[in-house]
Amino acid sequence: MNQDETLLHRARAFDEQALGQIYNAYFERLYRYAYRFVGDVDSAQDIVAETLRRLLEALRDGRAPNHLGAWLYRVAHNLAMDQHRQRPAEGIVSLEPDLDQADEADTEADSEQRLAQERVRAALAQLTPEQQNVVVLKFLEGYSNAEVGALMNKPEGAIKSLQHRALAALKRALAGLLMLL
Amino acid sequence: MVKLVEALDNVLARVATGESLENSVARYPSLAVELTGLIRAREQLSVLSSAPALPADALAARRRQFLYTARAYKRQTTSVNLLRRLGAWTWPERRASQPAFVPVLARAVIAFVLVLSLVGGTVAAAQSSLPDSPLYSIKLSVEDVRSKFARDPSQQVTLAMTFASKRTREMEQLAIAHRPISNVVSLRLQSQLDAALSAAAQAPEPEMLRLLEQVRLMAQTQERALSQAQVNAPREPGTQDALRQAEQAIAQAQQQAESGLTDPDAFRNRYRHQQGAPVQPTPEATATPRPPTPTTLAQPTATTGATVTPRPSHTPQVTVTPQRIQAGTGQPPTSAPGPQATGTPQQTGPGPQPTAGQGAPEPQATDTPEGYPGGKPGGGSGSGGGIGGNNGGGTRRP
Repeated sequence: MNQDETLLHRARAFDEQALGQIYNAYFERLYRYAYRFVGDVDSAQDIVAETLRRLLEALRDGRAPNHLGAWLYRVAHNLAMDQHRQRPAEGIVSLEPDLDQADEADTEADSEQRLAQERVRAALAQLTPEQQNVVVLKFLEGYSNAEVGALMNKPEGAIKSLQHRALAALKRALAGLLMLL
Repeated sequence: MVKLVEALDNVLARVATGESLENSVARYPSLAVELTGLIRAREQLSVLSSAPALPADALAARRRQFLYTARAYKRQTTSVNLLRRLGAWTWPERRASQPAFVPVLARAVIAFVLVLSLVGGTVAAAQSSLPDSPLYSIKLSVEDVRSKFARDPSQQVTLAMTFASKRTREMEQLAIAHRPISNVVSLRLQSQLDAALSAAAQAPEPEMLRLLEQVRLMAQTQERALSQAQVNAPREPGTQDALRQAEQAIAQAQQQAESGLTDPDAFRNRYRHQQGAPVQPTPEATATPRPPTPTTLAQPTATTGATVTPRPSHTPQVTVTPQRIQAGTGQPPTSAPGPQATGTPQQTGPGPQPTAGQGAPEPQATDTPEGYPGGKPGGGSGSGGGIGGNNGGGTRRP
């Protein structure tokens, strides 16, 4: 029984210490993960809080997940995608430089950075959920193939294939977005 | 294809360790162009690599909220598990080896036991239900029955405050679970606080003080819990308003208990007639409706007018002891000599009309709530309705 399974076993009985450990182990990881998609600190925190609340709900209703990490990332991913879908216009508006409030050079650099981030987020959003997961977990969170496989409940070979398809789709999406600009 | 997947993984690993892209892809000349394009796409992800660090206090606050929610959900697990067990229960299929005939009596006994178990199980499950559950009305009914069987004030106060605590916990749970707080919960809470105070007023003085202290302490605990719940609950206007109103009702009950500890007589006067239960007569109360004897008659006549004394319409002790008064007349039922019987004209005094609004000073006034319009003090709320008893008490206060 690995550590997650042990924690989950105790969490089913609402052992507060186990729940605290789950929180400590996952909150910041899930926050960073959600932030990649939504690009907003408060929204990312809200997504994680909602993810963990749903975990408690599942534990209460006897629907506890078999693979804690995989389940948490999947829920956080779905919530982040919902959020991302709800605010495409907002993202574009936020790219407008605010010349009144900041130094011009900084603003320009900032807005370029934000433009690049939004472009990559938009490209990421065109990938399938599994491809998105592999991209974020492996290339942004730095997990190994084996770890991504454990989190996604898939064999390592499948992760390698997904990784290839994800990068190919990302390349196409980025090229498509560049043509639009 | 397999080769490309493996080659990509290999190149990604090499680049990650610091090897140049050119050197890495050089191992796969036939795939070099494709691999380079994929690695370039991967490199563009670096703009998303940083996520702002979270302040420690924000993390700690979120953690507290998570554990608080966990505690609320934990309390709900019992009912869910019981319901699941009930739902999963099915009649066992009869085995082929089992005799076809089961005596009627045995079947009746089994059915009776099953019905009892189901009812008992449902009632048990209902104890943890929340207002949006179908079992909640069962929970309230069980509470009502328990309240009815509580005979002495001490039991009544303990039960009423226990039920009020339950209402508080239900509000907390609903708020945390982002579920609306039904009006039923607030009304029941109000009614149970009122019932506790009214019951305390029925006890003799030393006991009443002990009970008021109990109400005060329990209300204090509930108020703290609701304050905490307001902090942890979502910032939804409906939820926050309901929690705030409940907190105010509890604070008011606490204030009433404190006023009772300070001035027991005034408290008793305010509450003793609100419960609708018979009141233990006090020496003053028994004296009030007693038909005046020639000796007693002289005294009130001299002070306030003899005709007022036996008229009970503004002395509630009399209205709840109908054995002493003829219904509708307000007159003593016996032919004992009253002012009229003695031939004293009723209107001998200077306008001694027996209405509370004109309440002339009389000896009984110290033990009757004439001082409060309508017989209810308002409990300092200014509502004019006062703290209610059981008779619709839940709807009287805003």
